[in-house]
Amino acid sequence: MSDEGRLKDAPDLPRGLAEALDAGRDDLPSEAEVQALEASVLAALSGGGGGGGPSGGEGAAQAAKAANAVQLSLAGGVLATVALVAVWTATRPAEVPERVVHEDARVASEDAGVDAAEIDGGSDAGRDAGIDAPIDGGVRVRALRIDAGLPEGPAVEIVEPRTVEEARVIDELALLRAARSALSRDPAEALALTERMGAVPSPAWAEERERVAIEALHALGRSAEARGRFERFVERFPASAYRERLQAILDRP
Amino acid sequence: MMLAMSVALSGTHSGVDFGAIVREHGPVILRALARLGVREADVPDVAQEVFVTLHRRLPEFEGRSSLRTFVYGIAVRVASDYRKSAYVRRERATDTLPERAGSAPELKELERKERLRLLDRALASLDPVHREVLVLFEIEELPMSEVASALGCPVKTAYGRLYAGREALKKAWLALDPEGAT
Repeated sequence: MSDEGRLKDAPDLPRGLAEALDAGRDDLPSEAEVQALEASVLAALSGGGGGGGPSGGEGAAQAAKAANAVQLSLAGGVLATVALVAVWTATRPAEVPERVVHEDARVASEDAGVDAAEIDGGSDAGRDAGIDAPIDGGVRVRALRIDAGLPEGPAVEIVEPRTVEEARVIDELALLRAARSALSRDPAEALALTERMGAVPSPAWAEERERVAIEALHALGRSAEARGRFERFVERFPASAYRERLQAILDRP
Repeated sequence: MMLAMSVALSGTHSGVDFGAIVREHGPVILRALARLGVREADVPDVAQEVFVTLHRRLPEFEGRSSLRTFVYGIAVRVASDYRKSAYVRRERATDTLPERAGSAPELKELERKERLRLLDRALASLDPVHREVLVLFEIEELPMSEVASALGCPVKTAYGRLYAGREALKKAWLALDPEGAT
């Protein structure tokens, strides 16, 4: 066998192993799975990172790093907006469920090209359970409520996730954004929102959620808890860009 | 590939169409994560984490490897963290196959799933470093130079792991005895 020859072409393989390796190689996801991944990644990027606002006192290098992160976030945000509004226009719901909807949502609903009558409204019970009735072509519709004010939120407050998984990711994103925006005016609320996220954890949000919770605990004067949580944060995310920032905050009296 | 080249050459990231990166690399990353021990139900979450991490680390990407190699490297590490998590270590009921399948396509699909299940069982029994090199070389079919780069080890080391891993995989397969293959 040459250096780059594959095992499945070797002559002395146990029966069935070559076929199993082929099955592994052929196990590519469907187009829909790739689209769902793209949407969830863009949704995550539109809300994650760079949104905490500078707290002052940090070095120029860190400021530059933060600026870079914001720039990347913004690029992600714009893409996510495009992607999600595209989903919206394709799958506009017959009615907006009450659970959902931010007043300031700037969604191009009027441009939606799909007649509402084409969409068979799913039951509200299903929505409340987070599992929505499938609509034509397997598209699922749900919108999203963001309870806390989001003064500077981008134009994607209402989206129509295509799968339950996507809906979950977007729910978490909403909670995280609400928590982040509550941090400066009401740390107790910010902390409560991060705890609500805890019921539906997604690895992608954990770092940001912990960052918000630690800052909220510190702001509430619960320093010992904040420090304990920070120690676990450092263990879990040793390379986190938030590390220095959190350390600086915790070191303040 | 063209996209990877342009990212590598441009050296800037703010103008990158990240959705296009996910579309290009998402399919193989979703496939690789399943073989790296991520449960089917968790693959979407973990894949999302891979790409969110990639986004955060794009500034570190200097074009010395291909973007593909860089993403695989992140996937290997994220999957490794996943396997170590307490959540995964807990025992779970194994997937059960449907009892009856009627048509020929259904049978074929069952057979395919059974092969994947056995492959995953065999891979799961290996040392993680062997599993990683086998997944990248034998299933993802990367050249060894890229495998080594994704794993962050010298090419020679990667070959050592590959040869040892192959022997271990053959043994593990025989131990499963899927088709009376003795």
